[in-house]
Amino acid sequence: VSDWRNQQFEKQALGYTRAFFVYLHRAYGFIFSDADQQAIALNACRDTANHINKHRIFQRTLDGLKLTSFLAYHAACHVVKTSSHGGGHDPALEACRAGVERLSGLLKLETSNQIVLSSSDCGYLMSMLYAELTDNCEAGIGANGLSTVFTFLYRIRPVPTATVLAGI
Amino acid sequence: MPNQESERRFLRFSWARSNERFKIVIDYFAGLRAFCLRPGDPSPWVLPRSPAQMNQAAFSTIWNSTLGQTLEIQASESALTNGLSNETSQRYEDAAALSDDEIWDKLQAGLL
Repeated sequence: VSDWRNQQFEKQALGYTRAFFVYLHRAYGFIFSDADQQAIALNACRDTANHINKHRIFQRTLDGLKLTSFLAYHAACHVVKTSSHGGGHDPALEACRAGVERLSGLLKLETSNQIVLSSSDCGYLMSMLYAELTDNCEAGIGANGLSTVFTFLYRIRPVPTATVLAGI
Repeated sequence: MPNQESERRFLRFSWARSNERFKIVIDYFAGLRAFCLRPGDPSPWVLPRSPAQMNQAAFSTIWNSTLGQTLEIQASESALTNGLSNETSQRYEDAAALSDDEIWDKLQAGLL
């Protein structure tokens, strides 16, 4: 991979990462310190790299859904570790929802609004991520699972029909 | 030896979001760890210490030790497949240089 393409990938990854943290901050009030952001980003990039290596996935553009899935997982993991949960108000649940919503936004963008998850769809995925992070592993879904769900939704998007195309 | 507990200093202030008022308690003793408490809710929500924006230099360090290395060892260009679309990839590539406010505007507009 050329230096030029590597720089492209790096900028894409930084864009996905910054958009993720801005969303969690502005939409949900989560403020991660510089050190925490870097730790979450490092874990997410490392896990994405491990996945790419293990499965030998060669891509021309960065898989933003996979990277964002790992960001969502590690950010929620951080909130679980640093907050109390299980009470009336659980920030870990909000962190899980925020991560899933960010993925949903990316899916919506990538499919040109053809696939828009409902609030209950996001809630279902949020509850599975939450279960994974709070040790109910039999019911849970981790970062790879989350990424697979969204990638599957992206790949099965409906192909525009001739009628639709004729109307453009 | 001084009693560490007695030396704790707290800064409390209120914070409103989504029609709910939160009380922020910053515990200097614990290294500026912040706790967010809802009225009547005894469980603390530990907030990070300060807002920050991921900068290019910090991210480069992360990149070069993880995905950058991985991509360096990938196969030839012809073996590559697409991740997300070129358009989405370009949007996020451009977003790397935007301010937080600009990124948020684009997120709200569905452009990221």
